Amino acid sequence: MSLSLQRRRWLWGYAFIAIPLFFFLFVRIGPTIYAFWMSLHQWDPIALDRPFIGLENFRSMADDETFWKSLRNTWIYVGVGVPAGLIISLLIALGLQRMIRFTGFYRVLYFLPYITSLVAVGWVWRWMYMPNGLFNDILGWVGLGPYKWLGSPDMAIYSIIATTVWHGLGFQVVIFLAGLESIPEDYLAAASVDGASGWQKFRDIVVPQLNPTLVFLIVTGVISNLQVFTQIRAMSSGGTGGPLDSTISIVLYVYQEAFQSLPSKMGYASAMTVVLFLMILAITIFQLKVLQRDTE
Amino acid sequence: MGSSEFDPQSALRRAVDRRSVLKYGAASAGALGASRLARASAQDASPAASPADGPSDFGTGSLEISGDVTIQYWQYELAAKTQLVEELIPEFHEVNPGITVEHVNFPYDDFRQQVAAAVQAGEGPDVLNVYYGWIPAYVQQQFLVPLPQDIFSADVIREAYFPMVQAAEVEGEYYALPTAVRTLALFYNRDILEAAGVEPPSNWEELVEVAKATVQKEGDNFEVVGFTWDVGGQGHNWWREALNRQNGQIPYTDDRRELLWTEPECIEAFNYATSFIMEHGVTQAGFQTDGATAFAAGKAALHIDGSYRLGSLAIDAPDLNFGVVPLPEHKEKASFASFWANGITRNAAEGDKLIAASKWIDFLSSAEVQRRWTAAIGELPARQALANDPALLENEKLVAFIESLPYSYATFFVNESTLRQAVIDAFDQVVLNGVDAETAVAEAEAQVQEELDEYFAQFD
Repeated sequence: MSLSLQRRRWLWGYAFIAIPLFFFLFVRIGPTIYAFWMSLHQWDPIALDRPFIGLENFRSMADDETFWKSLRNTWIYVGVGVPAGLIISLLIALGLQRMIRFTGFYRVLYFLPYITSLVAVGWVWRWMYMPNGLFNDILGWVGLGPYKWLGSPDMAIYSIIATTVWHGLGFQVVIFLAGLESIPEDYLAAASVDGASGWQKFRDIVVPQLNPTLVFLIVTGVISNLQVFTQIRAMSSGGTGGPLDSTISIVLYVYQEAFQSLPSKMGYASAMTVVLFLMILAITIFQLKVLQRDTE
Repeated sequence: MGSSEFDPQSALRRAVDRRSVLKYGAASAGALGASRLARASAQDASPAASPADGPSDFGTGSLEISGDVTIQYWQYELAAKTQLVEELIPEFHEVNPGITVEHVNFPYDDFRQQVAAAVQAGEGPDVLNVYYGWIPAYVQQQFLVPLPQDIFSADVIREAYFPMVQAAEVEGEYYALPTAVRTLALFYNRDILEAAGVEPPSNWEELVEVAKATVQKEGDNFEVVGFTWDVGGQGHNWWREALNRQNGQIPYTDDRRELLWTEPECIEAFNYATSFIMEHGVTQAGFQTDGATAFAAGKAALHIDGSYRLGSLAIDAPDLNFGVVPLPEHKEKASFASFWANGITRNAAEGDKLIAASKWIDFLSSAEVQRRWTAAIGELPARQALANDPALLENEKLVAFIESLPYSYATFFVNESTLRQAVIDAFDQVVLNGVDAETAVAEAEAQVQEELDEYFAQFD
């Protein structure tokens, strides 16, 4: 049987995407759908039966104080961590762009934390945050402190955000630098000729021109902050969610309920991941629709 | 064998009791029964456990399997433990040529995930070395099956083993048997105490005095804490099983179904614990990240920890000059105990596998293996008769832990992680948020009680 050219091309196309398609279906999408399925059950991998309980898992979230705390904390990680990271890294990028000498050295310096394991970073910062650690020592010289940092229910979450911002700085600085480099010199030169001040140039040219960069960094920053886990676990004793659960995030709570709790509440944990999934989906769609606009 | 040891002959006579027929199905009970009866008649005149049977205190040497069988033994990775088990397996195989033991190890942090993943995939261990606090949950999930009562009689275990082992008993049946146990005691830094001119404390008042005498502060900053504050480490156990009992109050009812944490004695004990921070100012949370690290660094005078800490201190702080004394007592003596124990899973619930698993557990918990275990790993023997072993008492640092064995108690955990978290939160509420102890403890109690009620409902 001979195939028409059209059909042969068509077949080849499918042959090539078959493997990635298989990967996506069974390694990515499959488990996601499976998690939806699990969220409707009282699911304990060791138990003999896993009864179907409908939306009971979602209902019990409403009365679960720790869940609400983890939800609130997650929004603090996003609401404070993302803007703080963007502002600081933009300032650094602007500074680095003006440098004439040792630019490579400085870029490497800022990028180094990003390639360091987050667990190691978490532990080093934990030592610096210790009651008798580096930060309290330094503040002590100017007569401040001592502060409890990670030991205080009010400060612990911001202490962890500081670590996260520091860790992600290098990545954001590099992306911002690329964005800044791509702004045509002509625009800035023309604005100068028109007598625009530095602030006006920044506000009316640099920021709008950086829009795609900003959208990218906001979307990735929000997603990674919604999924924050490693540093919280590394920076609180025993892998708990900080004093009085003051630093617990949704993902950490999911982990605790699914894998640390015995009997395992994997169904309930799956239900929480479904909520997280819907949140990330909604935010990402919103960001792409609203923030992404063409610059003139 | 000690006077309280088990008589294998009577086990043989009880071979085909109705209970085991009901529990393990007719086929397996038949297999167990038939082989036992055969041996029973042959052995009536001779001593039960011949040396050829190898180490065995529950008489499983007389049980026979119908063909070759392989069982999987799972335990978490700890070099000393895995090495010893690797040595023991060939010895066991020699006396039980028909049984092959496959030894599977995995990192401690993955324990529950590994077990869950394997079970969900329809695989997993036949004999599992499990932390005693997880037994009730595994029982609820019908993952662990009771140790065959006609072999491992509950009465015999209660008599021969230290009282803490009763934490492996759920509703009158034992689900696991330990080879070794651990207790808590008070570590003290000799150099710091000598410099302050004080002796190690032996009661509540002295503990406060020594902590006050040894604390070193510069302004508000601690240089050396008098006593480590580590609720997330052993602190929660110390309050629950040691302080409360020392103050004359067992923290739950005899049937373990109801918590008594809000009894005045328990609240008093709770306030005693928090007084080290709130009243005496001799310690702080998070100092050197955690208590064990602070003590190893020589920055803490006193620290409560388990016998297993001796091993890590020997590696992390070989030059640390320290001693160990029993926990400071009050109206009574009490300490906290914990252990890892070997239980049979539903994979080996019947037939040859059940017999093989029983033989392996009998071997692992025999007096001979317990003695070797203590020597190689530094854990304490679980059998009362071995506690006076002179070889054991030679290690002066172990003495305090061994002394504590008769009055050490293991908590019955329905869900270890939530109970632990509830107690940690109660302490944090008081120390960080200034909530009064009654309110904070009542909240923790209510939370844990709810889980206990839910758990025991399955037996009613």
